[in-house]
Amino acid sequence: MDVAVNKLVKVNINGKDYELLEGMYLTEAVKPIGIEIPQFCAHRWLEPLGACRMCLVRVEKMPKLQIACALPVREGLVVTTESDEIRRAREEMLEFHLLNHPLECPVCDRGGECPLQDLTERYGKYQSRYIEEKLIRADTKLNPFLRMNYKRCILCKRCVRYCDEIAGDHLIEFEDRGGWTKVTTFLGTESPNRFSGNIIELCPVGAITSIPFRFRGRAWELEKTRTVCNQCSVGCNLELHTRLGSLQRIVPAVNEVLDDGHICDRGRFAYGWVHSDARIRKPSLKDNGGFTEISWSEAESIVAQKIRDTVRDYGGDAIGIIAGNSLTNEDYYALRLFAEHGVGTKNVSFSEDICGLSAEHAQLVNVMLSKVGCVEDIMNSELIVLIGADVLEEAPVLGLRVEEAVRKRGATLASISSYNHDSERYANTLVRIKPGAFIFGESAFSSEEFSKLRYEFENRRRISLIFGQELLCGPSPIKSIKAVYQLAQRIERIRQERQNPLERLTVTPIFRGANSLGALILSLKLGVPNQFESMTNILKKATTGEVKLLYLVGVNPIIEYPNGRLAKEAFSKAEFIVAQDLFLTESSALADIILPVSPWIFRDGTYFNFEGRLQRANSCPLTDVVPSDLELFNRLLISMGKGSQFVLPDELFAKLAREADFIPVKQLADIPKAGILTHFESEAHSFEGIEAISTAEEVCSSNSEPLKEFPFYLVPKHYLFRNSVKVRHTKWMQEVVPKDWAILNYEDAQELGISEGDEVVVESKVGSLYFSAKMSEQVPRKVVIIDRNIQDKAINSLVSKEDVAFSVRIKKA
Amino acid sequence: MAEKLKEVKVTTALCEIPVAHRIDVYEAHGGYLALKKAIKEMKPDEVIEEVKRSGLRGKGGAGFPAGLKWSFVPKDYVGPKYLACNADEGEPGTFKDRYLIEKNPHQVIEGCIIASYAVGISHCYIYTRGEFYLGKERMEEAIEDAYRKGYLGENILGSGYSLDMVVHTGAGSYECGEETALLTSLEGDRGHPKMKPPFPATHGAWGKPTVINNVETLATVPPIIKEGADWHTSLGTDKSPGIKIVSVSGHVERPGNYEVEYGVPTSSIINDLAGGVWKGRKLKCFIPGGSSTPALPAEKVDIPYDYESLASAGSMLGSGALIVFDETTDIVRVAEIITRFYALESCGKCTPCREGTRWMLQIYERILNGAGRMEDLDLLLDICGGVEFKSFCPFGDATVGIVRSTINLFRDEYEDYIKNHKVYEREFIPVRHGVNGRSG
Repeated sequence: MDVAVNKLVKVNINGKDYELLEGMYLTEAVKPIGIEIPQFCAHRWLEPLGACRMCLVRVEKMPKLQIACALPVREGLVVTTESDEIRRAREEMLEFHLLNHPLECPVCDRGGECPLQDLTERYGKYQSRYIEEKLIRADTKLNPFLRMNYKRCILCKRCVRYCDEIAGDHLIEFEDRGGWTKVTTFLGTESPNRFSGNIIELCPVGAITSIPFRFRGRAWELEKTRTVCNQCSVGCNLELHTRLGSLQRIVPAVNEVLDDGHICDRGRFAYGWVHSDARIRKPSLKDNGGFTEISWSEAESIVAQKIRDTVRDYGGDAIGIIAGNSLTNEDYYALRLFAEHGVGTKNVSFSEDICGLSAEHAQLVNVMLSKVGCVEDIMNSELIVLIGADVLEEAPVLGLRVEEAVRKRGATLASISSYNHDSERYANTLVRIKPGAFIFGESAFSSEEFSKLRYEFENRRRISLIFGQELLCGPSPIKSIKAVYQLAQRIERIRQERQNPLERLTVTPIFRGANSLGALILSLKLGVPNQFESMTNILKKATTGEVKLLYLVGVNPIIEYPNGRLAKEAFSKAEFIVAQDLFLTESSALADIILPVSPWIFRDGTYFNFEGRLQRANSCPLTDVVPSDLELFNRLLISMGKGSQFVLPDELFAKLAREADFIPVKQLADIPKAGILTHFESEAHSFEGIEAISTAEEVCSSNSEPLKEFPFYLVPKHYLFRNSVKVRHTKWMQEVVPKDWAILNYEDAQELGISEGDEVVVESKVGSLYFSAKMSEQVPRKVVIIDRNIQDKAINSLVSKEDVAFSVRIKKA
Repeated sequence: MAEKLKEVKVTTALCEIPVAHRIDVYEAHGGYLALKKAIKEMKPDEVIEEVKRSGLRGKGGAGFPAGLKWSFVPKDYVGPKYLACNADEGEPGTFKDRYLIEKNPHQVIEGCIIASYAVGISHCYIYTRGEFYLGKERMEEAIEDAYRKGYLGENILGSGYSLDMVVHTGAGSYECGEETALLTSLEGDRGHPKMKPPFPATHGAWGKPTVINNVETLATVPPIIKEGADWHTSLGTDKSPGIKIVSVSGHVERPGNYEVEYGVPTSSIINDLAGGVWKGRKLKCFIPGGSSTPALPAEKVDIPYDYESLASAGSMLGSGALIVFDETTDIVRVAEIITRFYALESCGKCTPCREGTRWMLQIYERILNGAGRMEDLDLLLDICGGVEFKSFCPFGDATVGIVRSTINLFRDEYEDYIKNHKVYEREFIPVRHGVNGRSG
């Protein structure tokens, strides 16, 4: 819109003068001044449509009533929003809307939070004059999460427009015409959609309702807790709705600077596991191959005894502690205290995302933190470059915001990846590299492939680089990360040389965990770096017997650690394994004792999301029989005779805040709703510690040919609907999890005589697994893409060394 | 007795020659001379000025001055501009555009080229209604011939001006005759109308400046250029200059297209040209401008046939479809048929039109099934009030004309149905409302 931003103009509404923002649509503009103009079809996310005609107002000098939802505020506008004529028009429109709408509010899930119900209450007539037969159609499913009730639909088209304009995946379309129009899925397919759940709230009636939540409670009976999502690094703000002792549903709580009210379907629907019977609720001890439930005091004393014995016999460093990436900062802090004071070990790893990261990389972590860009930075960029990042899968809501930046703010999107993925839909520059060859130095930069990007790098004022799972799960992740910062450094240097300096350059890593950044901050930034070891080294030390006792905190290395064989060997060599976990996972099943912990919805505390935004999580008001991680650490400290050190997250946060000068608040309660965007810039301005990529390394990376007898590169993929252990125990998620696909190029499949759905065997030097073949044009020749999280088919068992490209061969089974 | 009304054949002059759709025949009758004149002797602005001066009004229904419409297109716009020739003629009672594109396609093409030249357009679409098979074929053939003769394509007649033209067929929707719905359909989407403003003249097809003119309007352009604006203004009335094809249908002896000057008495169109009400019966009422315009009673039959007179009588000239009803007509059934058409053709985008038309149809069905109530008549009028001027596009306004006018004129016939529980025995199944989808 070519209207000056934030310009106030004089308008007259209902005879009173106001100053409103020019160019804003009237329905939105009048909200702050206490005037309501009813609407069904308009929404701040969507382009105005003008279909529901609820917002008709009288504009001076116009012969007909005008729709306020598409009426931009301009100087001298004279509007009447309340008059007999408009009241009558609203009554008429509501009568039309309700013609076919069944009066089943008592059994409708939307009742109590339904715009149609509310506006009818406010503006409608209580008696309809419609005595004809209503249209009846059977309900259908739009996808596994969404039930479509045609009778209730008022055809406002919000859902269709959301899928078109925002989610971009055209899940829904109109069919037929006139009063017989209906919302339908394309060709009747049930397509899963990353953001489909958002149309539940978008629907102004109860036409689209959540299948998992169906008939689980009335809106006003639900107790609501604002918290932060734990499923990926975005940290969307959520509301947990609970009733009768269980979590009933999850809905977005708008954080305008972060998620703007969008959440992904995983964040919204993957919660059924919380009340799953499969969750471990009692400590269990390995006993003749099986597990026997034991009491808490027994369990605590066994673990305390084991730790004490190990420390006595072999020293503190014989205990290896590996923590996952989704604990709260307070949990990490407690674990640090537990490791330092209770155990006295240096073999502690918090960095599940970059398994090789240890004390020597503290400076790299500093550089990473200082360069992180926030959502606003990314959205204001002129150029956004995805480097091995399928953001829509890895950090869906960030992906959505990136697309919003491209569509609405004119950003240019580029992508560097070995295969084509959905997040590149709006990209205009694609750089295709060999799988895993992310170590691009000087020669890559001057190559033909990079030529288009180079122009962008040399001319755009605000640049965001985003790197993600393809890079992090590929070979040599640390070198690849350094290469990205090298690239950033090179861009800065070139711009300085040409006296065309950048306004802003950010590099944002997309890790897997909800608090991956917190884990890095708590260990390698705030902690004493050399008290931390890499996960790889801890596992290696376990195989050599240096580490005797493995202590796992919410982590599943058997599946998630890139080299599954090393993880398995470490597990078999370790004398004793303690697993703190929610479920009996592939890893905890191998433990000697399992200590259950509470799910994230019961956690108070803080998380750092991918932007470094400190957000506060709140526990929902339910009781759970198991302790949180930090409670458990404290209990163990007590059992070990070290005394109670901490009880509440608040205390730990206060301690943490005292240590960290970049946290401006000192109390947990002082963290505002939108969170606090922390700035690390003051500490590291330069790329100090990022040594140049040698040509040899680069050549080695880009030239690494797969072994002759194993001609395919295996690219591990991190899907949004990956079948993680939590998703596995949420029954309605099962329909959308990716199957055990090995995704191939059509031509490769043809050469190998493989057709869609065939069982294929994927073999590496060290093992083989069976998958079903799937073809895709997105995959280049000689590449096979496989989900990292297939139950019983963990591809990390095919890997022998995590620092080389994974080469495999494929055969029809 | 006054002299009998005569037709003034301007666009339909060649239509009676069986092979007038051939380019050589068209050329032999002076075809493409106007184009030559425009392109060789006149500047684009002069063409617009000439058409403005001629007072040519759009003949698709709204009667908006064509020259003025052209002048709204930004002259210095960088990038493509489009012309869409609206051949999506769907108004019940109207069959003039079909007649023109089937019988005299080259005159339409010539008009399109002149209009495009005047506005600086390089791409022209002929948007034909989905059901116009012959018309589409004829247009395609004619366009091919015009390309061969150098009237279309690169460097037309050596002038340096280039224009491409293609036929785009709709999928069969009345709504796509509305200009913005035509554009969304052209773009490949559902034929739903778009928000105005911005108007198509600045933000039309694919967001580019677009002129949308009716077939008949464009076919009138070559004669205006050839004969001059003064010739055009000498015909018709002051405010409605020129000629209009009137499609006469219904209870007349000789239904058909008759091209007359604006302002002639409606009665002489019916009596002198169409042979009068059939079977010697008396006139009951007539719809002057197509199903979307209110019916007028028999006593108003002498009204001059022009925009202003019809508007002051409470109806509209619309697309010039004169539908005549004799004294035996069951007017409630007429209203039901037309309402059914609108209920089925409503695009479904906005609530009042979508719901209002279906509701009215249901009430009509009930009345015709003998279950009407006296309050239904006021209810129908009330629904009309909710639909008219509150819908997204003029479709909503179009639906209420027949309902309101027939209730006002023939309330006694409605009351006869209601009081006596009269049942109209239909030959086909009515629309059913209580099932999945639509049938019948």
